[in-house]
Amino acid sequence: MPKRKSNVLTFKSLLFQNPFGLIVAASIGAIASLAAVALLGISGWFLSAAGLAAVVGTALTFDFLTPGALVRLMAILRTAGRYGEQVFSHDHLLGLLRTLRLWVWDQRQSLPFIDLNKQTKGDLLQRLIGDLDQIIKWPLAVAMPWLYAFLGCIALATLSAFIVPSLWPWVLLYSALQLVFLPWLAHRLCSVAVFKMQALSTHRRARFMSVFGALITLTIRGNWAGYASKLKTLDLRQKALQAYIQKTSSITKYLSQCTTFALMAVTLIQVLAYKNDVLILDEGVQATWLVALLLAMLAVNELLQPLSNAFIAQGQSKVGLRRLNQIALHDHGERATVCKLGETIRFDNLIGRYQQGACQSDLKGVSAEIELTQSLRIVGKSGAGKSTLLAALAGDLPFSGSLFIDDNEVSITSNQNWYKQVAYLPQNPIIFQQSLSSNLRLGAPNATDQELIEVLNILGLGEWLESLPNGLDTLLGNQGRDVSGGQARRIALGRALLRKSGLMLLDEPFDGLDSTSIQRVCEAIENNKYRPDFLIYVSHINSPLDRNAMSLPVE
Amino acid sequence: MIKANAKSNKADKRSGRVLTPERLFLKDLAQPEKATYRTVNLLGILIAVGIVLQAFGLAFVFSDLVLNAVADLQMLVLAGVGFLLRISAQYFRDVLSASASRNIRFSLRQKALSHLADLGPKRHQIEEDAALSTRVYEQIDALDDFFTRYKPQAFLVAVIPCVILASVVWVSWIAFGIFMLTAPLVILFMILVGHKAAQANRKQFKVLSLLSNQFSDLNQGLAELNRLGQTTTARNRLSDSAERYQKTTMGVLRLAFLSTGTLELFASVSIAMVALYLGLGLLEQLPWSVGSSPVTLSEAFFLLLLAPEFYLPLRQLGSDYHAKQKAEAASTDLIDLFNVKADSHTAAFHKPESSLSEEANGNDQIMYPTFESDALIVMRHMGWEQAGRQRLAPFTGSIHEGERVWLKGESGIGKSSLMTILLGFEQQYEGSLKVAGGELTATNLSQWRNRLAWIPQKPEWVQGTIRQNLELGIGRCTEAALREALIQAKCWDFVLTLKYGLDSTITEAGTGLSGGQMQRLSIARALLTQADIWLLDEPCSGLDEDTAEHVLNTIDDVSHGKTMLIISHDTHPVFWADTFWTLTKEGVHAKAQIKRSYV
Repeated sequence: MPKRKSNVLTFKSLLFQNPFGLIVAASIGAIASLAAVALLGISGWFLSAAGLAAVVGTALTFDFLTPGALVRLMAILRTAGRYGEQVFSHDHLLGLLRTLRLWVWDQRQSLPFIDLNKQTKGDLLQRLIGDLDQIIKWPLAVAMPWLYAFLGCIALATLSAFIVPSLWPWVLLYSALQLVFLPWLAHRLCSVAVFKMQALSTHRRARFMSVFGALITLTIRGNWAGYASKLKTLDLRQKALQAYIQKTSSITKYLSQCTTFALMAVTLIQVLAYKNDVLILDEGVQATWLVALLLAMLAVNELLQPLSNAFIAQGQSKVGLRRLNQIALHDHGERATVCKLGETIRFDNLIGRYQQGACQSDLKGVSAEIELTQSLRIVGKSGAGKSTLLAALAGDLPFSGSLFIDDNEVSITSNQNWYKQVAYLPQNPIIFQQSLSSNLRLGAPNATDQELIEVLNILGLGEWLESLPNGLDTLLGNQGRDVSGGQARRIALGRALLRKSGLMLLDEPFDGLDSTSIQRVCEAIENNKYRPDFLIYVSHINSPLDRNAMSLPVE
Repeated sequence: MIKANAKSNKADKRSGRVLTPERLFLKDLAQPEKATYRTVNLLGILIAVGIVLQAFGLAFVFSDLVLNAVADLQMLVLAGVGFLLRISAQYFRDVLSASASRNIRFSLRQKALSHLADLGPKRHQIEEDAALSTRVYEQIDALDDFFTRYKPQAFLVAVIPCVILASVVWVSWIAFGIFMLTAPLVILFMILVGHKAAQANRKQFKVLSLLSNQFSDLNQGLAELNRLGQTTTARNRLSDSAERYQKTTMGVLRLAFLSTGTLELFASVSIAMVALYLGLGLLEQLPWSVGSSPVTLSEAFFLLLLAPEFYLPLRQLGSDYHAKQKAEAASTDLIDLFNVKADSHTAAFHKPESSLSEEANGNDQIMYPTFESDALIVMRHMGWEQAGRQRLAPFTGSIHEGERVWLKGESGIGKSSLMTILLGFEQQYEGSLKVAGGELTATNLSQWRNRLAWIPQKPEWVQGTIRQNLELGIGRCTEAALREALIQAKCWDFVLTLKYGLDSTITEAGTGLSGGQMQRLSIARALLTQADIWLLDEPCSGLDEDTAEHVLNTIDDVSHGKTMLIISHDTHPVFWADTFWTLTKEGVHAKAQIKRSYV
């Protein structure tokens, strides 16, 4: 059971995320909905009364101004209300999206690297983003339509109590059917299907990725067709589910309309008596008001329509919430322990490991000691665990063995205090869809443009920079300028250099660099400007750095 | 073409009815479901009839009730029939249009899937697999609302007002006149709603995808931000931009909604004015005809009931407009996806011409490698041009049975394209490619492919165990065969150290196996297939020198007697190859390799 309840998302918490915005949107929507019912009702009454007055001869004394004004007022309220609801609910939607995204961010940001990596690499992240889009629709697609329908039913009950008192149990029954029974029925019939559909689409996507990942092998072996047909089977199951859900929704809608039809029929049966081949209106009932009531029923019927689809959104949001809550943090009381770089770093029998996946029992632990201003080059065959070792030292991966700073054992994994002192160039560097300068400044928020240009020059990106029309402000990534793998590495390396941290960890820093750039980078690292206190690196390319570096073989 | 597009864009702005490629695409998709949509439209007419019958019946019932306190059973039944007709027609219309949409979407998806499969390695010219899966699933599903709601509604918008007008004319000329007067307003509505709603939708769509993109981007890099201690900054960034966009978008949306809102208000008020007019008319209080009533009560009711219905389909269409927007945005991506193939057909169209010109002047320039017309693979003036871009310059060469060829060349010269052709994924090449004595065509393709083993730069893996991956596409293998292959490929040792051995899983997030180990596994897989022709595309790039050398040595050991074409850079030389080809723009330079022994 979660300790911190506030961390778990529920439908209730969705409603209370931004209560003011929702209340404004809902009340405006409610006014618009009621005005729509009233508009039809009042117009009906007004016409009937006017017609009656003309026949009876009281036309001259008939007060047509008040109902006329009311009709206009309702028309204006309905339209203005709709407009207001649109504006406020969109505002609320955007606000909710923001809150939920920040919620996801907060849950994820304190996760240890290894879990984070798992989430990012699989399609969990994609799914989370999709789920968020699904969930924010809940207040608009489920909660508010139900509220309007509820208010419409109340209005109907009140009206009928005045006009045809004997009708109220029927209206009550009608409301119960429309507001509770039909939604319940649809939900019961379909909640499993909606859940299956969601699960199936995740499954289908994974299957697609997996099968298409081996497309050529499967094709040349001549059994692509078999695998493709499995993909097709999944798709057909999805189609059948969609058909089932859609049919349920249409039938619910049909039943809801039939219920309205029945209510109107019951109303007429209540007030009409069959005498001498004619249907005669009961004495106690005012025909003008009866017309208003019947028209109001038609208007409420319109209000009820969105409910027949609401169960789909309800089911989808439910699945989405459940999945989101899987990443809700339960205990997050751990404080980062203090660890400050000192004179030496020593590690004993260190093996970095990914918690899951194939275990590498054949790897031997690595031991070394490095003193202030020294550097260490990790060498070994690929697969020997060089990158894993570096990632463990960076605090990303858990490890077995121990790490000492000045003979004090410290715990560095996912430790914020450790991160602060480390500049790490990982195996797969990340470039954000931000400007070139923002990407670099992630390493040093206060760096001047001049410093950024200097680093880019060192990395041999000077010419490239000059070719960019927007210079440092050039937007990188999908939305902007695509950078090649080599450029991405160098920008990330620049980011690491700019950090000017005590400990620098570089995983293949020279990949994709020409020899002049390698020279310059090494100079920069060895000169005072970007010189770290401790340097540990992995590189299959020999460089001037090696002259002053101890070699640490990893097997 | 571009000019026409610009023109049509301009026209589009004026009338909103010109066929853009997206609209054409959507229209073509609906073609097979034409019959269903005809029924759907017919049902739409029934709905309109239902509306009129219901209004007609109710109008008489109401006026009878009010004036005479009686109800006419016939009229009651008429109203009831009208109501039931309407909701039943609506039900069938919903079911039919949803099923049409499903058929369209699911068959389109099948088409897209088999199209992607046909493209083979070329599919990456469009996008990565992950993004392709989004197109195939999410984007195609984004067409749903268009086919279930927008398309039928677009017909209803024309039908309902017409049917209402046609029925009103029998009841009251004045009513007819009122509606006729408001008819131009309807058209004005169409245009304004179309434009303003489109504007708002486009803006919203853009902002939402921008925000979602930013969120996804920062989340992808969360680990890096965490290391750099920048998570709080990034959080603020997320929060700020969301807030800022919320403000600016709401500004735009408010205006956009306001314009549609004003028009709706106009409609609402005009309905109210109709009611008021009718009321005053009934009271004989109209300023211009005091003392006489222009309509009877039943006519008044009829008009009152029909007035909202007259405008309703339009309002609905306005709110369904985003369905169209969404569908058109998705269409753009889907058209892209199908276009990749269309391009190669264009290339095929030019084929005779370009191969002719090659024949005419190419002979002096091309340097022939040893050319034997009875070799296993014979390429004559074979090249590949796609969408005006030369992917592989025409060249001539042959590989005989058991020959191992090392191919190198600058990047972009067409080495991978050559592989694509040899694998049979591109049949629109120029010149001739004879395999085992016959031209490579669809008929002998599967036979040819059966002899191939394919080892690319990044080996192809499916999610599953090592065993499943080794058996991928071959079917069950005996334990002994697996063992034999693994030992030959030098995988046996490390597979044994794995906790679950052959049944360890290979997952997306990594295996803990190194690149070299993965490559060895793919050698084992190639061995299991018993293929005698091996095609290797840079099997060693991404591996360090030592590992690469070991992997290459293993490939040498296991490939004696096999026919082989191996692409490798100078950094990973294939000394043991029999022949050494350099691919250039002029053709292939070939020389027999002086075999160096390696220890």
